[in-house]
Amino acid sequence: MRNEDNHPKLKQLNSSAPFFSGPSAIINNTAKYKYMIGQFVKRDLKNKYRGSLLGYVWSLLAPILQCLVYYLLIVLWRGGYARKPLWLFGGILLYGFFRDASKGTTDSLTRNLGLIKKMYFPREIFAISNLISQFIILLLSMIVLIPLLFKYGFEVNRYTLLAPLGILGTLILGQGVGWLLCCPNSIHKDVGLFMRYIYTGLFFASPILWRYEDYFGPRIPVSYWEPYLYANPLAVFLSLFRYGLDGTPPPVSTHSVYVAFLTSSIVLLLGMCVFKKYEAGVIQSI
Amino acid sequence: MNEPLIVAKDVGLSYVMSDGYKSTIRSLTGPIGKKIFGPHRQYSALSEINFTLHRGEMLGVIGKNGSGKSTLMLCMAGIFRPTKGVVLSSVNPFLLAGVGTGYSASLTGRENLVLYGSMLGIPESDVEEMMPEMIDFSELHEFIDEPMKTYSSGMKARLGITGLASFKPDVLLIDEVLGVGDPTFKEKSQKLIMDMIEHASTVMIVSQSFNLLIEMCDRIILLDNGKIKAIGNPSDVVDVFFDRKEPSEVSPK
Repeated sequence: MRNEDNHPKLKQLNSSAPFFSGPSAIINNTAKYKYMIGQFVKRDLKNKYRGSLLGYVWSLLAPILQCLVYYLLIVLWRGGYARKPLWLFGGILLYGFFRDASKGTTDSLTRNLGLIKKMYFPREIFAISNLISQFIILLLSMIVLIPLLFKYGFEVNRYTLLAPLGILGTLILGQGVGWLLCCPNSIHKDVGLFMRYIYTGLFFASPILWRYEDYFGPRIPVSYWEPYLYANPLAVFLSLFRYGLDGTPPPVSTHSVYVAFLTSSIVLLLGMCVFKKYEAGVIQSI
Repeated sequence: MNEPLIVAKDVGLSYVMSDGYKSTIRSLTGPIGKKIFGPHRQYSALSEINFTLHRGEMLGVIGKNGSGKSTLMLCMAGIFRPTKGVVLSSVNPFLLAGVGTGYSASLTGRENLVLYGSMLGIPESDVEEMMPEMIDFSELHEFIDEPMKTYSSGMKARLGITGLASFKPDVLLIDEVLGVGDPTFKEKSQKLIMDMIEHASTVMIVSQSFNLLIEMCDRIILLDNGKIKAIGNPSDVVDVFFDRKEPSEVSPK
């Protein structure tokens, strides 16, 4: 049998790859299994609202209702800055995308365990298809912003580019956090339970229901608080998105934007490495 | 027949056993926890597994409950990564372990067949081409565009086995699925699996139907506590299982 081990066609099944090859393995598998990913995306989107009377209308209705609740509670109650409904809606939508993309990736192994233990294909497919589904839902939900953009006199200028930049940053950060936590969460549910409170904390700590400049601006010069509050990359991306919709320059320094993208990219690459390194072992433990 | 398709080389697989709060503390504190409570307790599900599955061979696997048969199949399919040794393969083995895997209750029968096809690497256009034949086979006809959650268990089983009808793998690994659905369909599904076995030509099968295995297989592996107790001639290995022969008396083929 020893001679048979050396047969030229034989390759190791489910072999363990070097730690830093995680990102390239995930990118290659995404390209290789794109058809299957497409089918999983279709399944996720069909499953989301199947059985409801309004179907995909919920993609619009859900954010409208959520935003209205916050709008009534926060903006009308506290008094209004003219563009706040647009800012509020934009912030809530983008934050929802961050939370659902990272949570969906974190839960991707445990949610698909039945299938994972019966068929072999790269496990990152579940997380990638979740990300694409969440991105499509975000795009559908953003239709609610269109009437607001018209109402507040939307015009395209160079700052408009900040909006897609904000979405890109949120996507990188959300997916990175998801990859990073996926394996620990699959073994210890505590990670997911703990993260619920982190998401809630981030929601209130980030400029979604409010703006840093409204709170600190009148009293403290921007240079004093900007580097500290925008050390939170999510705050940077939310601000880029909202000021992009507004077409006005954001109060975020270029340095903070670089740092936010660099931090998020490191989280994403590290998350991919950790996921690919440990996912095979995790499957056996759950 | 001599070309090796799958080679198990000193394969071993151990599970970490839960030790209540001690496991949690060990995981959270790393080396410090291990120093206080000792290393994680491990359970060896497979050890020292060495064999080769050749092209055109039919290999049976038998053993008592908990002897490691399903774990071995999961390793051979690449689903589990051995903690020791390696599994080498020149093909993508397909594990048939239950029907209806990956199907979604909210999707219709037709949508589920397309989804399952994608998991097996069959393009949507090919599945659509085969659809009339598949609908006939499943006997679901007017129900094929209804959500699967409205199906009876028999209908679900029929839909599950139909997904396999379109798939012709090179190496088929079967883990105790030889008949689902009502008696009439059971016969049909058994025939389908037999057709798949015939087409695949290289098969590794776990079953408790010893007579069937003796009839079909070229060799049988007997697993005992995660180790190969005997491998070789089917009748001899079954005799070892029933303690009628010693493992040393088993002829290789």
